[in-house]
Amino acid sequence: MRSIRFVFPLILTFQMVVAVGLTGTIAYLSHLKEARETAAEIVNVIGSTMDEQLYQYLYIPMTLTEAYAERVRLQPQRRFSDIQDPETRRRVIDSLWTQSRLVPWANLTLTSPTGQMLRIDRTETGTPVLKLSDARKGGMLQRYLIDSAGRSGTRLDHGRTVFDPLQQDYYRDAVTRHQRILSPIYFSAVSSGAPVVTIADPVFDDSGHVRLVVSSDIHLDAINGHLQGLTLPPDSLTFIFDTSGRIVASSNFDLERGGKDRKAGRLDDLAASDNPVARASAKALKERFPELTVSRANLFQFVAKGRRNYVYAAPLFADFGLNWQLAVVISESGLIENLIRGVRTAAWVSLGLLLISILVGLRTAGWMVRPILTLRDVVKAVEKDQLDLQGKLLQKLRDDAHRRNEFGELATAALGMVQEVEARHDLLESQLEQLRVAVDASQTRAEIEQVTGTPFFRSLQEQARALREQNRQRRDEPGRTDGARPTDEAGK
Amino acid sequence: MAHVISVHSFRGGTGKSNITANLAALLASTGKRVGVIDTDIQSPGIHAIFGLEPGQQKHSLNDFLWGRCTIEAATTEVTAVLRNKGIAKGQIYLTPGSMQSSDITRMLSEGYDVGLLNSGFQELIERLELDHLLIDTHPGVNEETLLSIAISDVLMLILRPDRQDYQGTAVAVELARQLDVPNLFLLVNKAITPADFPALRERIESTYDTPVLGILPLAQEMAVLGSSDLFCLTKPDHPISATLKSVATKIAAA
Ligand SMILES: Nc1ncnc2c1ncn2[C@@H]1O[C@H](COP(=O)(O)OP(=O)(O)OP(=O)(O)O)[C@@H](O)[C@H]1O
Ligand SMILES: [Mg+2]
Repeated sequence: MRSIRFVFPLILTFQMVVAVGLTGTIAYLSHLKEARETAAEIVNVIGSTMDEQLYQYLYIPMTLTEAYAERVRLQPQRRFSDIQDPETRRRVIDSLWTQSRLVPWANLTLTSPTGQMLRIDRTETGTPVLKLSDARKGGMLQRYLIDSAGRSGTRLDHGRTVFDPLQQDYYRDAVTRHQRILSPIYFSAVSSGAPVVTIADPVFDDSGHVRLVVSSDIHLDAINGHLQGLTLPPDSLTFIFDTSGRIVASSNFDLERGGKDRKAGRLDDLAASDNPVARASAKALKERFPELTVSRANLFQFVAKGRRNYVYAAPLFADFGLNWQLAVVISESGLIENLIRGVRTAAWVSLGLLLISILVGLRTAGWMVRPILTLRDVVKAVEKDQLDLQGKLLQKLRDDAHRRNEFGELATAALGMVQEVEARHDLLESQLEQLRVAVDASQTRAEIEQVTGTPFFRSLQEQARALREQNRQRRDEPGRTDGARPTDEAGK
Repeated sequence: MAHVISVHSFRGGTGKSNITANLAALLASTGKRVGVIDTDIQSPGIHAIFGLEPGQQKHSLNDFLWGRCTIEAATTEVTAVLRNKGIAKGQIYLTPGSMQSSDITRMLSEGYDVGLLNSGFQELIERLELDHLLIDTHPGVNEETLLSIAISDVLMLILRPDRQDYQGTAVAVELARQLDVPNLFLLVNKAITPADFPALRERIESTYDTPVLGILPLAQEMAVLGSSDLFCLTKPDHPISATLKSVATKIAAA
């Protein structure tokens, strides 16, 4: 038998779960989905913005180099046999001082095949200067001011250097390959050992001799500083890596400097680092891009240790031959924590509501089922003649009878019925008992002996007849009216 | 010849007081002078049936037993109950027990000279020239009850038709026998199912070897009256009244 005690609550609970639980779950999932879509969009925006910001560090040195080389090519009559003569110096300052002021991270450099070098540079305090050196003249080095205060061309200082530009890899590479080249990362001696990449563009004359090599450095320190200066959500990580797995710049790690005994940072080092986000990100990137080549902007997610992370990955200036890729990793908790917390809170609230409504449902079910069960028990007890009139069961029925609804009416009717049945039963019992005229002889004897054994009874017994006779005589005596009390021994 | 008629039952609540009062009224209505004494000192009750308010009379049986007054002074005429119902003949005198709880507790704790009761009965019969003296007793067995039984000419034991009364009545019947009561009768009260009455009478008479004067049915009207009036006079046509009338006749003839 399937008792309504279980079936009712079960049905009610089922209804609650379907009604509240399903709605809650659907709402939770759709909110979560929305939140994540928002997060992905935000990461996409952050990534592409960063992409654009890196432009100044990469695009400007590259285009500046390219543009200047092109200008020289368009002036075939211009000679650079002595680029250090005052006229050339003045012209260079004139044409480049705007760029030199505005773009601190480009250092346009002109190198002649004779080993003369002219470079837009900065002093330690950041003042733009034109630096001239000549390896053949015993390492002569001169610096001239480039400023807007009318002091342009004034010599700042002079000294000596052992630096020979003709021995630099980028120069030799550009000349031998006859084309614009991008050097690998190296630690530049002229930039006090900072990690750089040099873009170099050679200019040849009609007979195929080198006229000039135009170049500029890309300062990884500057890029790194930029990445580290970004304000990103907590637990975020941004880095640039090349196709060989080398970390070019990173928001979380300082780059190595030349001369120090440290290997360049690699993706593998990241994968083994203490930072859990860095570790997981390196792994996720290697999984997604086994060749470490990101051909176009990408947005993907990965989950590590139960935490969701969004990754924006994009190539940087691939058309310039740069094999660098930007990766921006932002953890969901850092990004939309409040949003997610709100969604979770809402989910908990609906779970709480579900529990409450189940409790209410169960109470309601109990409220409805109990009188029926009581009624059933009462009827069963009456049927088996086991109803205890003083017992709890009947008390429950009486309590139910106080209800002011159909349950109350039912209980009242049942109570009346029970009383009627009991009354009839009692009547029958007493009818039977009435005719069962039985006496327990031994009990009677014991009880009589208790009385007849007393001295009072024995003396009363002796005197009973005499007393009665005496009374009769007294009454029969005519004219006796004095009221004198006769001696009475009965009570003594 | 004046009769001393004791009405007793082994257990309480059998209807002694009501039956005693009604029999008194029925006997008196034939022109007799009838006395009624309430010896149920612990729980007096018969006065209410005669319409006597507590404190209406100066003395009670208790005062007599303590020697404070004569038995006559403790007795009140209640014939008015007959006259009110248009019965011109007969007299009824009632000696009630005290209804003051202080008197009751004193009586219970100090006791009294039971022998005095007998002389009180006799004196009352003589002084008021009674034809019948009915004694309403305390249920169970105690000294004044035994004395009443011992000096009775008639003892009527009231019983209800249930197991406990059957057992208790056996004891009362045997004690009455040992005290040589000349006329011993049974009266069944509060019986149900009148169809069973003949069989019931036969069984009881054979069980106790004692005549059953009548069987009174359990009547709602009686219960409703609640010992506030004389049933026989208010409902003279009721089967209970008819039975009691025949009981009164039989007692008077005993
Ligand atoms: N035949 C009857 N049918 C219904 N009720 C009755 C009947 N006889 C007596 N009663 C009721 O029973 C109750 C007890 O009656 P009563 O006081 O006369 O008994 P009792 O033997 O004198 O009691 P107690 O032992 O307390 O003195 C009274 O309320 C009375 O109305
Ligand atoms: Mg009584």
